[in-house]
Amino acid sequence: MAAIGATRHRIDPPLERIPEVGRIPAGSPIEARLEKIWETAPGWRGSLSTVDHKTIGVRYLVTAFLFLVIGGIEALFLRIQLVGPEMGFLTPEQYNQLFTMHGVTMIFLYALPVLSGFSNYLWPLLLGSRDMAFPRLNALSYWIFLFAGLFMYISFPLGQAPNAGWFNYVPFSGPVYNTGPNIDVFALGMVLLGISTTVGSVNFVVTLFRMRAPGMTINRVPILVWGTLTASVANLFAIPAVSLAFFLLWLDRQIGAHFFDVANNGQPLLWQHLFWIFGHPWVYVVVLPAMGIVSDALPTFCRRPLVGYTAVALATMATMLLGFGVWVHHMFATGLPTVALSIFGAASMVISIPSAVAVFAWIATIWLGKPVFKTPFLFFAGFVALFIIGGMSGVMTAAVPLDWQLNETYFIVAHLHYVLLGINVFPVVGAIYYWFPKFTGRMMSEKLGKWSFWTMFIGFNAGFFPMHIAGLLGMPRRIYTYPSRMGWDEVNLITTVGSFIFAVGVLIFLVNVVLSVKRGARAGANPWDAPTLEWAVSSPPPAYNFATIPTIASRHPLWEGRIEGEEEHSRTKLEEGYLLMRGRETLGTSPIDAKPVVILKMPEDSYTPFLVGLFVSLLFVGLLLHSWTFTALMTALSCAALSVWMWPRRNLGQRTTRHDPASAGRGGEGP
Amino acid sequence: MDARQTVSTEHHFLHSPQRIRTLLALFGAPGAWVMQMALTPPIAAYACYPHQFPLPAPLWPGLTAILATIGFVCLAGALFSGYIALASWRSLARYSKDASNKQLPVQKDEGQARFLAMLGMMSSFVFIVAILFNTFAVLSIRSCSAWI
Repeated sequence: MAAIGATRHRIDPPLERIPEVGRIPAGSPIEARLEKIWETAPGWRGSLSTVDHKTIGVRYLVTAFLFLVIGGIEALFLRIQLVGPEMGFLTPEQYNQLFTMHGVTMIFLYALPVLSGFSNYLWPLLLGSRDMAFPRLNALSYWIFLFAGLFMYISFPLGQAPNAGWFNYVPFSGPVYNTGPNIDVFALGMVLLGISTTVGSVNFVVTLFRMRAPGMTINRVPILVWGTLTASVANLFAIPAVSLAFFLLWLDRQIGAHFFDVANNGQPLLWQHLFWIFGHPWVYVVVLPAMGIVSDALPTFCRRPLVGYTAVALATMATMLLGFGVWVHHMFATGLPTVALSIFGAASMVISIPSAVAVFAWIATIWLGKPVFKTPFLFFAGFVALFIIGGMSGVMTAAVPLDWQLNETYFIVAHLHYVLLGINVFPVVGAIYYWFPKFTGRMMSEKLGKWSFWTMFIGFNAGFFPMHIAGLLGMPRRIYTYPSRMGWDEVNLITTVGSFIFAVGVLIFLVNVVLSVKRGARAGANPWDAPTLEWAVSSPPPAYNFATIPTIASRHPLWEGRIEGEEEHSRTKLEEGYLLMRGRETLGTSPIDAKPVVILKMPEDSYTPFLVGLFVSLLFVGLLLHSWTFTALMTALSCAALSVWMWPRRNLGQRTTRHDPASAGRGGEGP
Repeated sequence: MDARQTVSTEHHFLHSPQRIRTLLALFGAPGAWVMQMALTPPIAAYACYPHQFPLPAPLWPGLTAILATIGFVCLAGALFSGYIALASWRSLARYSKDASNKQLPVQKDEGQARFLAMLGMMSSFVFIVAILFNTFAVLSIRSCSAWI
């Protein structure tokens, strides 16, 4: 550990050294040495052991997109079944399993993981660091996410997939009405996935408060970072509720407990409270980082900084906090006292204030800027339009009397798809177009990009807007078919056609990705002339991210000198900075004002995150199969792998136990 | 800089009194709103639905007064937090003006104090509105009535 800064008081045990400040020329032997220190071994060994945040980020993105495709295909099956009245394409049970897995896949296995992918890849680059705070925890988070996804699909080929909807209400999901393994798979899978989300969230929180480059004070943090931070803090409060709910349900089903069994003084409504006290914050968890993506990337195409940075940062945090006080609006029809309903209705309306602040900030940014109509801009602008429609229908359902009319109808399905596709999928696809050059070093095709946007935008609105009308006409959600005399035929036909057009748009996007990876035009470090720090490094970035730790002097390090009103004297230093290369090292800074305080020794690649993830997942397989010996064995192996992981090592010590006068006071790693 | 083992304490840019004011400005109003949400619905729920069946009238005749009192106390807390935020903002604005007029030393906090003061004002505004909405909701609805 190094001492950096002014002399005030002694720390005991002693610190190791003070790093030098200097430059590392591109292509120099020192840069090659740095690359060697941070690179991952080739082949399967490196694949299983890497803790590189960029690799983990890309894995998250690819895995989440695979789940998106699977969930999308499930949705197309549902739409074929509903294209006309009295269709027999699917049986009722098949329909139940498909709509449940569609919801589970999209909400739990796509919507947050894809945002975690962006944040994992981008955070250290945005913050001027060399890695996340806990690289191995990062790897563990991904492996458990992957295994939890596979776990939840384990019974799908056997026709025993979860079938009680993604919110899995009791008593239908209880042992009396749902006797197969369907719900046990879901319950245990959700507890497993909760581990991944929790450890990932801890990593993001610590990274923000510990790993920012010097000078990146709390008022210079990109909005994407605010969004992911807010979502991560929320996860730490929300995930325990849903993990507990599913664990209690599993106990009800397998051990004979009665938490939700009304016949034995259990409380079915407890399930709804536990689920939605998680579920509604989760909605904001899966949209706030996406809103952050737009807030950071949209200004690039408007050629001006975001209007109202402070207001948007505050709106992000206020939305999340208010999001914890609105869960009962999912339960307006459950017979709760009217005072409670009116309070939660009021809170649900208030949440539109910070959301509107963000919307006005984006519109003002476009209005006051000089928009460049590239593909990412189209997706971000489209997102703003869809956000407004989804937000408006949300405010409508915040009114209790109207909610009673619309509850359990297709109006709600329309609302949630405008929110989740509009505020998640559109920004995510726009973000792929935007950061693809950084990920791969190649540009995506603009021509195919514009085709994909317009096809997706038209298909989405054709597919989902008519659902509002179906709901107003009284069509209940989750029905596998309907009679022809209800007046729902035309809207369902249009919805199905629209959903297929949307799917074609997604397909064009995927074709564009595949073609561009191999044949896209070469991208420089900053092909969009963007302002943020990730564009200061080459595309794709080197293993170590930054050769020297940069010093940040503004919110737009790469636009300094161009923005009217910015301090003229402040200049970010990108070429010169702290030289850290005695093993994997990066800089730790203070939480608010990002003053350098410590050299952090980062761990090397390791198999232990993979092994812990594997053994913990197999432990859940043991629970599912009631194989208690196997479960005990996997528990022991998990503990053993954790012990190897956590075993103290001198070279990772953040303080030295003996003072080395030779190294104190000199960096020793300068060029 | 001492080459031996030391750390900087200069990064504690918010000294104690200012730090308390900033924290109060940032979290006072949200805290008051959380308090109101943590107290009002459970009290109302218990008063109207204490056991297996809902009651036509609350267990305690003064339920509305209790809930309104909670609302007003929380509102007072939020308004105080808003006042602190506004005072911090004005004080920083005054300092900046004086610094430019009288060539006082410029604050070396890179604008963090102004940013946090602005966040405090905005946060107080949003949560004062939220508490007001909740309090109106309490006052405008009969506690245990059916919603008809």
